[in-house]
Amino acid sequence: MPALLSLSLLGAGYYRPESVQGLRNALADYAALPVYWLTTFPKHIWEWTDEQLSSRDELQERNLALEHENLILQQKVLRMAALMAENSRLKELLNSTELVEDSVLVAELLGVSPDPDRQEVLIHRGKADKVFEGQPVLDAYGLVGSAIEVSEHTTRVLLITDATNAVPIQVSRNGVRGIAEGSGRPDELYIRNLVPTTDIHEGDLIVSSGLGGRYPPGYPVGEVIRTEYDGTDPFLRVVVRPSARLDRSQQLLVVFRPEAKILSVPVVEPEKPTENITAGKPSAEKQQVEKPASKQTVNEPPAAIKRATDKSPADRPVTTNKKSHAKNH
Amino acid sequence: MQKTTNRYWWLMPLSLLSAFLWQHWPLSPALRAVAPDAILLVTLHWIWRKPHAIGSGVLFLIGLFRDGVEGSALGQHALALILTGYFVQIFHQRLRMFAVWQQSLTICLLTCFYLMTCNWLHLLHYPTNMGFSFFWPAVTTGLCWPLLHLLLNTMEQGFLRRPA
Repeated sequence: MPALLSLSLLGAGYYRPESVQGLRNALADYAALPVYWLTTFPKHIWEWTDEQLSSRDELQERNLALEHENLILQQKVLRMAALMAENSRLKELLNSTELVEDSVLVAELLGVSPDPDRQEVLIHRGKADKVFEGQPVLDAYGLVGSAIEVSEHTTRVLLITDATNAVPIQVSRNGVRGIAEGSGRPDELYIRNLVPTTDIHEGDLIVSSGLGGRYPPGYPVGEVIRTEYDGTDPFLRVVVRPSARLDRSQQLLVVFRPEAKILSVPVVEPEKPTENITAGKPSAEKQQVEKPASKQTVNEPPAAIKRATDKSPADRPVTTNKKSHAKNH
Repeated sequence: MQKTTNRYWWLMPLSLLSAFLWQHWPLSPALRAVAPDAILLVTLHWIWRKPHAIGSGVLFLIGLFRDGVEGSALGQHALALILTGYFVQIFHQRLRMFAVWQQSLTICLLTCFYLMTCNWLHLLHYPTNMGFSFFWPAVTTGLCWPLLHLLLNTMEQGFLRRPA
């Protein structure tokens, strides 16, 4: 009888996945979450003891180092803002369409799929944090993957190296486009179907191209480690090592990307200045469509930094400068 | 025997929970690819010990829980576990007569069957071809059997002998 039950569950999952989605989500919240939490428990204990036992001098030293780092990063953000303003002016000149800045939510890694066949991780954010299916996930070094199954408090993320995943990419040096397919192993991606004369070399940085609309453009995907061509194949095969530390990162970033209305929205002159939107609400109606205003963009980041630092960065959606400039034609 | 089931009932859930934790402990991918299937090992031990206490309903629940934790297709591990457990339930008297190395070999074959069923159901939903490397855990599971069987048996016997 239970065998028949599991067969019918399998059948239902195969033909009508939505009918068992509720049970899957419940199991993810009430089975996966406690089990994975327990497996990370010793690590939490260790971190807690380490924190409790670290001396005041050590903490001060660390604080100082972090303050310095923060100062340097703030300076970089300011510089970045100026560059972005310049970039949007240039894009305007080029009749280009969009310049969107993403906001992110910090998510803690909960567990890694024990099945070596699947490159999947579980993160401790879910519908409660307004995570949605298909959402891109990054770490501090590059693109990690996208959310495939969102339950109330957890989300399964399909890594870019999974054999069923593919990312539209381009070479950052010259803009050559391609598709990076997962290899099923955590350290390699393949770009197939490039003509053998394509200008792509070892050491080239590969970034996401944003085509296909699933992954945002411009995030590092990996670095070319070798190109394989044996003369008999019609195509070149490029092997890429992912930039993201897929097997090491503990903190991931879920990206909320304001959807840029590219061609369908008429130009709207803004009445009031664009307001910062919290990361949790990437709704389209809150976006202000405006011409890229250089002065305002330059002035924006310090305020954003202030807001971001006012909140606790680990527990809340980090508010970054989330503005969308859409220029359309 | 009655005493064991009443007083030491917690040994079974505790060992299963430990198996779940071990199965999902963060390991390097290379190590994880050959690590023994702890959940199957512990479940088979308990069927071996108490074939009448563990029916297919319990196996279904364990399998479904595992599916939920691992995010595989619901019913995949449940069905594989029910089928594998069925063999042990049928043949448990004969299996108990086996020498240790024969037991190990049997467990190895049963794990092969389990992994094959899982892989087959997995491929229905998720068509990737990873070759035959998914069989590696069967070898390590077979090798770990004597250790685990001895450990759990000793624990149970030890508790039994200890005066209450």
